[in-house]
Amino acid sequence: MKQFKRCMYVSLFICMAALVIPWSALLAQEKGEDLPHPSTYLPSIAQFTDFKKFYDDPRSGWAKYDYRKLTPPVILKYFEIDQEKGKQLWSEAVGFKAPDVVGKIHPEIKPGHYTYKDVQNNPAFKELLTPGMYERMRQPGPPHGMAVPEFDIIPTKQYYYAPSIAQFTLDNQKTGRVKMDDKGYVVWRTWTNGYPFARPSGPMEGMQAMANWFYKREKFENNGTVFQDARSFDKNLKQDAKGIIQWVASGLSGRSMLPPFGYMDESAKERGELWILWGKSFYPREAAGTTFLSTYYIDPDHADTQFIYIPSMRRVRKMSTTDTQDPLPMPGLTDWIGDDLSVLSQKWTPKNFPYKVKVLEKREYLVESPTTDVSQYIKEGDLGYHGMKLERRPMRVLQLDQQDPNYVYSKRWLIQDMETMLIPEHVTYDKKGRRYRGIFVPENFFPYAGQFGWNGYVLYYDYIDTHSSVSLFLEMPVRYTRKDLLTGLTSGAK
Amino acid sequence: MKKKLLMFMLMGLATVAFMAVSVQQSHAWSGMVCGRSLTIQGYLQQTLGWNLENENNHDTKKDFQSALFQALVETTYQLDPTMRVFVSFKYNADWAYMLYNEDKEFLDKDFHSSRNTMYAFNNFRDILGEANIGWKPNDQLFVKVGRQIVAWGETDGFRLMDQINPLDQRRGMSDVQFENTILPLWLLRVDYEVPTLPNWLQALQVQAIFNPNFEFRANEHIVPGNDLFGLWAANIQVGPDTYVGRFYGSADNADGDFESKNMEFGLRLRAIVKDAIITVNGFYGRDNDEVRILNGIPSVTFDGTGSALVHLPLARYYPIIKFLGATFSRDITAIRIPALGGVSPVIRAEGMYLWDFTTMDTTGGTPMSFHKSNEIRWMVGADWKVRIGFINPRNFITISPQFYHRYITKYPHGDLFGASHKLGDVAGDLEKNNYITSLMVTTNYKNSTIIPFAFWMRDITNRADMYIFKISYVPTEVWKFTLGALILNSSAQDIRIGNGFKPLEHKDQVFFTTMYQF
Repeated sequence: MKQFKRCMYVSLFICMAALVIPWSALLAQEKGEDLPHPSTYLPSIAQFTDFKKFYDDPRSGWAKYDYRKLTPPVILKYFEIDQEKGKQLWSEAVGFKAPDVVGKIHPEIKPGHYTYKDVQNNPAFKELLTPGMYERMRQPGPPHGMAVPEFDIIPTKQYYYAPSIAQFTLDNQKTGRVKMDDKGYVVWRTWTNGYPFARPSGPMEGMQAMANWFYKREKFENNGTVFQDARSFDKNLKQDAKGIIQWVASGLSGRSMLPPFGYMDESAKERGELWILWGKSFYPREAAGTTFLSTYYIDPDHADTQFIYIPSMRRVRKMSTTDTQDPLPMPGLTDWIGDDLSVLSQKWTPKNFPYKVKVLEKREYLVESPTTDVSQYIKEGDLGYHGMKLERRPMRVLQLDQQDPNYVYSKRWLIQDMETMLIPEHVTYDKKGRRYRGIFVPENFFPYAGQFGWNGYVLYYDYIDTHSSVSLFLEMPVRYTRKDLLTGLTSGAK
Repeated sequence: MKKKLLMFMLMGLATVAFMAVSVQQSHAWSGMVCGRSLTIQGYLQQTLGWNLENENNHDTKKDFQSALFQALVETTYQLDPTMRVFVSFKYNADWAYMLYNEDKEFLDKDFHSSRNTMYAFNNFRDILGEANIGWKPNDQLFVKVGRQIVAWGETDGFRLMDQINPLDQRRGMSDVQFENTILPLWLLRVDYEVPTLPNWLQALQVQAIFNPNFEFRANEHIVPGNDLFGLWAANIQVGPDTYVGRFYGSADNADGDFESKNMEFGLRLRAIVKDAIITVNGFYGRDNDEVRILNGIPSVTFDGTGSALVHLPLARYYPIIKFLGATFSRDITAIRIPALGGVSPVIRAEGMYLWDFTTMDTTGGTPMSFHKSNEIRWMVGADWKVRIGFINPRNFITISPQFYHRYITKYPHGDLFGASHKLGDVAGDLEKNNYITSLMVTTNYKNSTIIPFAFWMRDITNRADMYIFKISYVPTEVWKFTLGALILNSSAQDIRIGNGFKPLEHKDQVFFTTMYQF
């Protein structure tokens, strides 16, 4: 009788499954869901480890995982642009081309191959390099990783964005439609697309420059996935942690490259949602499945929200929106605090830890050129960084003085590329005024898409605890929906 | 004692060496098999426990008392982009049984008789952890079928609404991993994300759980009987050198094999509204705890120390539990103290109403009849991160207090002769109002390589306390070393025996754990 019962129930289950499965495949789809789902063409996390070895691998990271080879044509068409049009529109928006405005400081330092000894023996480099970058020009070894023994200086390039982004930015610049309040914060409902201020100037120049950063249009307008191999090293350059993480993002506002254009949906417009991001850990085992989900809002008065899925508890927990000053609880990322994610993602609001922004100067620096082939590599052992290319870039040097003495930092110092609006180097100072953390993000450039992303190596230093976090990234533009992101919170659930 | 100490240390070192040598690679195995992604991860963990009690107690072994080994292997196989197979295997053994095979104290106190049940958990149903297939054909639907864990509720450290999967306390309160405390069940789970929502509703999910009762499993509670439960057996002293021995008699409705009377149904609505997580939960099924009443005349035996053991024949069964509840979780942004770092606390709240919940009438000390009543149980807790510079100049300190109240609506009044009634469950006496509070504090130092942790639970009703202190050293992502202490205190003299933490008062211990992850 028991056997019969068992057979009966198992058979019943199989019949139900046979009925349910086809039916559920016909369930209501979201509007516009006629494009292939990313899971059908993206590499898996197992394949990601194959894209480039963390150490001693000078291969181009895109030899195998160039998104142009993996993305179906029906989606790829959205990422293919008229490059000349992008160049023309972007230079019109920002008012210059980078090659035309550099070469003034120590013009005798020309493109070519150099070593750290050239840097140490020539005072011109002390002026051309930021202090943080200058310190990295040495024989590789402790106390910090990614020292640079040799590098190339390449001619300065003009960088640009996709014509759709450039056009919106140009329109913003011409019409002045993006407004600021008297404190220098963007009146968020006046912004819909593009960079808000193509030519920051006047008494609010610093705030305009920071607004450009928070509304940045890189990473395909926050549409894509990033695989990260994150490692951290102590002062003897001994690896003390490793993590494998995948990040997935979807832009909810200001969409000009991927449909749906404008806003993802009415909710995004109504609620002022800028983008949504989740990050899932795959390794080590204790963290595997841990997933963060964050929603970033345009409205400075609306705190960004965070949820976390904790696999050891099998639960989704709400995190405090203000819990952003602690290091991220993921191995390999202990030099990253929440507010330093993506270089700088602290909520830009007058209500909570506001800053006073100063433009210290506008000048050219030699900074790491955005890679176009991810061929740079790190040597195992001494963590020397090889294949680096520098170019002269027009930079705006900003200092952000924290107005609340209770914040973890007393100030931030950063350089922002005046052509790309991106921040390749960022230094923070603790409450005692000591240099605390340094962040170096060279990015990569996709010339055929007019876009920037995080491919290659990213470096976070802790100067006080003498610690380094080095991550290798593979990024791909991907079209995700809101539901992909929301349900992705428990996608690593066991 | 020195010889035993040396043996335990050698055992611990041998296990650690085995971990380091036999597991060749220091990271999870991940690769493509038949064109599909396969990941294998897991851990090996060895814990050594040292009893802190100075006296020669009936229910504990002096000095070193446990060498608990836990292993877990998890495999994830992505069949296709929509379907994933997850299977885990566990192994749990206490080498103390091997080491103390001929130890006089171990034999005299009859711990050795529990070897069959407590040495190694090597039944197939203990070795197989989870085994399920998850299928996500689109954004709306997720189906998971197989052996799995479904966790409800917002409470940490004890369970309110989290009633689907039973709890395994066979290793007591040792340093046991989550995967070795929650027992997976064969379930069908269906999650449906409602696609079209008004703007005020950020997300809405309907979750249905069905337990077809393929295999009946209940909580594995701490019970008396050194010969059955070993070193974590509950100590209930009923007279001079006289203790409760075994509970015997099996539950008469612990049937699996698709017996419909033990099938279970759960439904949960989970919404995100104004950045708050709100759930409404309903459940109908069998309580994971049994109820039991005396069913005959107790028998008495004597152990090797001359102590008398009173064995209780019990009639037992698993009653129906049905409840409706809700949870709420949100950070309270209005509460910010800049001087403490400016982080707002996250409030967690959970409450449920139970109908006709069955408890036991324990007026005479031994349960003699069953009692049904409605109950209200609720918890409120918070997670708050504060910066206190002189304690930790770099990182925040997490503080998580909780408060729990259990209210029994139809608590029986006194009888005609003025005697008061008492109700109880497997954990001991219950009052009309029962309160528990807890507090967890943790932080980290040196880039999360040093992690101190403290947990305190106060059973307010029974005036008993549990303390757990741990400090972990995590030099890399694969190694973790933990030194800890567990203290159980129940000093109130007017609380009846068998209640609060009284049965576990002698279990205070220091432990050291080595974990290797791959």
